[in-house]
Amino acid sequence: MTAAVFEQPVTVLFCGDGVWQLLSGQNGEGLQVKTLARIFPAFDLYDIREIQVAQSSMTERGLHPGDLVVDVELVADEQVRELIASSKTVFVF
Amino acid sequence: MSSFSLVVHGAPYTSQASVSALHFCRAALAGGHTIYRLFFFQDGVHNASALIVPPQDELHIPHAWQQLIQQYGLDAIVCVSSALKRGLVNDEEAARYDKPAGNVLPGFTVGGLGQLIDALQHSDRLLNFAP
Repeated sequence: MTAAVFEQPVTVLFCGDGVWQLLSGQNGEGLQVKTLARIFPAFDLYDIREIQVAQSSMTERGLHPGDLVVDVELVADEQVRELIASSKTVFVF
Repeated sequence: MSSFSLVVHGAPYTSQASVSALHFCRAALAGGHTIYRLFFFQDGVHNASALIVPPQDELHIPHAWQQLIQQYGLDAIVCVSSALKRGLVNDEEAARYDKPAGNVLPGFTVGGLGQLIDALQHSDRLLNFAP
């Protein structure tokens, strides 16, 4: 989001266990942590429209796009490689 | 010759991340490259702690960073939000939050994420060193 504020084109990719972050119906109250999934709909306010999710990560975990808090583009592993190769900078969190 | 910025995500003595970053930094400078910025992020902020006392026969990682920073006049930024919640404060924040003392080593500067984005805009390469 900070990158977007600085007018850098941003694509966000969720893969591996990272896809769980997008699951709707989360509530961190019982664990006394922030409900991070509430943040993701704000991507739109920051003009971050490219939200990609690795199809293989979804399939492995039995998840479907309808389970997620935002609209995402499902991408094949090959597209993940292309995204990383074509990005000037890659941050891993 | 290239300009690099390094993002250090790992705490010292916890993973190899910070020492790998240190070695890369030394090698790049020795090779005549420039380091635009060091950015200590998340657990990486502990690299800037003035309170670390390792055994005498082990590398003192924060002091090694400090020496490199001072020798080459490097711009070393510690992410403020990562630092505050991990108990790393400079003298100014120690006073603001009524803490008994600051504990950021001289040479390191507390800053924000904007400086990370600035680093990626102004470096040929930005490298992440994560656990």
